[in-house]
Amino acid sequence: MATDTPVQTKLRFKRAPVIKRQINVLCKGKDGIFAARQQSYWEKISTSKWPTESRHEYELTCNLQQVPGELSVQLEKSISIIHCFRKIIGENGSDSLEFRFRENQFSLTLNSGPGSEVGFERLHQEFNFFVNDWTQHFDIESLLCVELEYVNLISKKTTPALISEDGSVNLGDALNIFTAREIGGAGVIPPYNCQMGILIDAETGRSFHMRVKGLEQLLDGASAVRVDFKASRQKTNIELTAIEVAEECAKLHLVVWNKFNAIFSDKAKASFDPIPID
Amino acid sequence: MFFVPTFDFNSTSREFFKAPEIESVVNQRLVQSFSDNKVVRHVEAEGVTEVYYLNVRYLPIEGDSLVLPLKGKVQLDIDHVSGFTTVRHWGITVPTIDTWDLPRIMARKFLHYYSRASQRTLQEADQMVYMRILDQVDWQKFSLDRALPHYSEGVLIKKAPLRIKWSDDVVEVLPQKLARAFMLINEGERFSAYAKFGQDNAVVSIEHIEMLT
Repeated sequence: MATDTPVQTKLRFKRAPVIKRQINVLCKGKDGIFAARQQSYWEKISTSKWPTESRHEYELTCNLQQVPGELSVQLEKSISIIHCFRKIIGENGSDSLEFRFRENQFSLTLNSGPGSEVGFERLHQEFNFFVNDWTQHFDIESLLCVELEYVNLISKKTTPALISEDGSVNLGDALNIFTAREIGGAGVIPPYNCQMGILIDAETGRSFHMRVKGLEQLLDGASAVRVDFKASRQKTNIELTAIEVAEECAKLHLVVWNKFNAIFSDKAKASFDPIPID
Repeated sequence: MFFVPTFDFNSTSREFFKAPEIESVVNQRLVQSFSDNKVVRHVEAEGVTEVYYLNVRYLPIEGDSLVLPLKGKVQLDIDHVSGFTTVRHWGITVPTIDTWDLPRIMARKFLHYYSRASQRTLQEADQMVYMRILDQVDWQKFSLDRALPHYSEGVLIKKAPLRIKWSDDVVEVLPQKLARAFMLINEGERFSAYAKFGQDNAVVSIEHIEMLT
């Protein structure tokens, strides 16, 4: 069954508009260890049964700084190499898992769509393997930060009930925080670009962030809006073991789940095919 | 940045593979493959060679442990018209699509010159490039890390703190983490061992201990 099912919840959604789930981990490794061992880790994963394909990607970073005392800026561009693996999963082959690593960081991503058979449980299961394997290979003793990201897409294809006949998104109907009767006015209109953060627990540094952003191009001839969630635990003075990080992911998932229920309106959730669970 | 302790919702733009149905519209990512024609076209329109710094601090040399530390940033000149990337001062030019392999290619180049120089067979034409490369790497640390262990003899004076009197009468306190190597040697006993020395001639590892008394 699709999507995510913490025990504490009463409903699960067969057609939740989640198209991406991603776990990010940040650590502090020993100097030189990553450079020495990255090739062997690449070969280890490449030759295992895990990936369907492997490749390298680049992150391009631009650092813009004003030249002191001058009316000009200095632009410094840098390249980071990211090692990537992809695995097709699911019966119809439309879902995929992606594992990426670079120095002191790795991420695991699950791409799926409404109606998919896989959800957070599958991502978490795979993550438990990688967090142990990766930390052992690179001799990492503690981890600094873990994040769980969800990308929801409100579009004609993923949430047809929330799209008007003229192709516009009824954002006020979809998200509680945009209901027009609370804000005032006849309705919410584009552009949509909104961010907010919530501190869940100051002691553990657990927090939740969301962003609502309208896409610049039409999808299937209609407007579309991304609703991104990110729950994270990031506090540099509390270091976590691999086991603790795996446990923390489950807690972050519960945070995302609760916020999902709070942020999406009853009308929206009714359109996601809710199924009562025992 | 990729993911950092401070929140930046551009993190969703650092995602890599996109769900197929939204690939064309959620293309806000900084992460791009150079095989992506969108990037190439954009740069071609500007008609410039772009300068990038490669985020690499060490080059892998051998196995899972030996690396070559870099002193500073490695500068790349990426020519999107010709499709080649040049590593400045290293005499290396590769197809841009192979940029990911540069750490290994640079390590090979260094080891090639280093080996030739050790064997005194470095061609005159290559010496200038090798000198420029040496300016950019910490070859002294590399040489120490790479050095083979030396046969040494001494007397174990004390186990904690670990105090050794070498055969040349020099007394040295070694890091306590090396004490395990002496677990079968009693205080006052002579031994031989193969010791590896790091910066300032300090012992960094010791192995193959044998009793001489």
